[in-house]
Amino acid sequence: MNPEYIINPFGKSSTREFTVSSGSVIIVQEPGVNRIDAAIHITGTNCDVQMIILIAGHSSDNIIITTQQHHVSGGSRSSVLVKSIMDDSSHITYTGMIRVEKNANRTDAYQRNDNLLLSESARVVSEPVLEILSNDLRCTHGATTGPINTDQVWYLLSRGIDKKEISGMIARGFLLDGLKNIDSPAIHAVRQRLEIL
Amino acid sequence: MKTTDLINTSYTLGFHKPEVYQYKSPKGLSEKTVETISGMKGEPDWMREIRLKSLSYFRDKKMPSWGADLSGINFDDIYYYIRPVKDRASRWSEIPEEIKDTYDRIGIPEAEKKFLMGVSAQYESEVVYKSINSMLTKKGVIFSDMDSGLREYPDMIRQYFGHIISPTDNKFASLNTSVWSGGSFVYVPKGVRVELPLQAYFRINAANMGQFERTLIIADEGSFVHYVEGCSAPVYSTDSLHSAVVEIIVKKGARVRYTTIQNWSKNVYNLVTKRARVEEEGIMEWVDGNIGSKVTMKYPSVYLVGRKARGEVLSVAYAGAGQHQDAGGKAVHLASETSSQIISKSISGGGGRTSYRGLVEVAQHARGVKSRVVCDALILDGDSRSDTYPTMNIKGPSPTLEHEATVSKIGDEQMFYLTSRGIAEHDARAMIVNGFIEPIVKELPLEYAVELNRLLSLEMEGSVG
Repeated sequence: MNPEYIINPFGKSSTREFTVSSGSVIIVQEPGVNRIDAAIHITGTNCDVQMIILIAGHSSDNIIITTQQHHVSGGSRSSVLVKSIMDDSSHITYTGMIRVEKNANRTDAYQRNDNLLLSESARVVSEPVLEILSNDLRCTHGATTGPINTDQVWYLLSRGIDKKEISGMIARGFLLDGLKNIDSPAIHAVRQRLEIL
Repeated sequence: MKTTDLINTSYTLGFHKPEVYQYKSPKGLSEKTVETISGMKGEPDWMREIRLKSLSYFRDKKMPSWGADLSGINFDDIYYYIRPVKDRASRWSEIPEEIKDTYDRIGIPEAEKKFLMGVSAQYESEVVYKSINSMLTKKGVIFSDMDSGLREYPDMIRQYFGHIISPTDNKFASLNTSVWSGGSFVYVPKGVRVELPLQAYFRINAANMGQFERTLIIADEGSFVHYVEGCSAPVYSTDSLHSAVVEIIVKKGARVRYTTIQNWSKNVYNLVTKRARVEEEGIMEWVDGNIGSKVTMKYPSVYLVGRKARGEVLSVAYAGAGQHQDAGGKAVHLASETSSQIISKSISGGGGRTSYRGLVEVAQHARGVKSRVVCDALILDGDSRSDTYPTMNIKGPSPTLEHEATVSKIGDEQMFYLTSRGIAEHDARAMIVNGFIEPIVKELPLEYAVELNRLLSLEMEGSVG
């Protein structure tokens, strides 16, 4: 089965429900879109679904993201990755739900939220919710929030890189890292957009 | 044999002794009940007023709209105060035969023989027996029941009572403040280290009897104390309510560890508010085991108010048939360079439900905060359920936060590995479960670690598919 890529599916609306078999949903936040609600419903077996959401918060943005990984049937894998770089006094609230229904055995669900704080007044609220009604599964989630690592800054400075460019460089790398396992020409445009961020 | 049978048959502490009491309040809650409790204890006026105010807060407050199902509690069908014997006995031989028998079966005299520093045992609402090592008294350590504490050190209690957990904090804190009885009062003076754990045993023995202990621990600058509370209750046909409040003050550079293993019978609602205030460079550690009860809602909290304060919560929960363990921990970072760690391990089997519910909060002015939350759940069979509700509310600049959670069953590869080494299937399962909770068990005093491992192995035994 060839994985399909759905890239930036929102357009003007910010709520989407996906009932998918296998593939990747990649969402790069459009400027001005401050709310994204995305739900994946898995109703088949042996599905392999991943969703990647990349966010860049600026000025006084108040960004709200919700995701849902809803495993109705068993034997499938889902993963959600939400990465954000938060600058100025922007806020992000992320609520990520994994729900595994009673008969959805042999499910493997993964959810991860990484937030990089570029300013001291940026704020993050990360709220994962796991509701597991099945017993034969593996379900994992992780979240990290932190400022730019001073060792990384020191490394770049020692290579003669201008101090002003460093945080942008690290922030871009942080977001692009989310796409490292995606191998499709379709995301070329996404990469380019992130490069000029 | 099924797991559920084992849980019921293996519950050796679930016996019921005839009630011995001197005074029993009428069922239900009223101003009169509250005044009677206060009057019989001969309390000062300020305490009676706090009780009466709290009663009105209790009536005004709504039941929590989240968490476990509490609709089975009928507040009018509970005895709020039972006084078992008139005076507290200071020697073992003075204790009435029935009560002594109960203690023998829990093993308190053995604990004494093992040279524990002080034992204060609570039978129903009043502490009837206590002893404290003379060495502790010489060092100025106070370890008494809360009622004596109020009589002997009213100023100290007035200064701290209800300051960490306000009577308006939540409905059950209001209820406890209104009808509290018993519990422990501990004060450790500056620089004193209490090397052996202080222990208190709690029991409920009257059907429909609510137990509302109130514990206050004050660790002065640079001191250390480890307080251990073990709970077990006999089985009854009607629902019992246990709603304790524990307040802990950790002053500059002090360290307090509070260990609980609760093994209430499977009809008890266990709704407990536990909170610690940690000052500069202080350390607070909660070690919390929840094995019994019908419903537990308990989230030990650390409020880190001083620079470099540290808080830790280690929590282990087992939910069997008909049980819901809604437990977790909270860390509130109100000062810079504070750090916290919450580790929760929960196991659900036989149709039980475990929930992890937690909070990490960082205040706006708190810089350089570090926090790590790990919650792992193991589900033993298809009827059981596990939920995780962690919340992070970050207002402060540049904190470093990590959170991870895992829900899984016992892995086929793990089982294959162990059985291929010649280990029987049920031993392998017990081994995996004991390994799963090991990070917490190794923090317990030896006798508790043994008890916890034994309890879990018993509950596990029947569950081999």
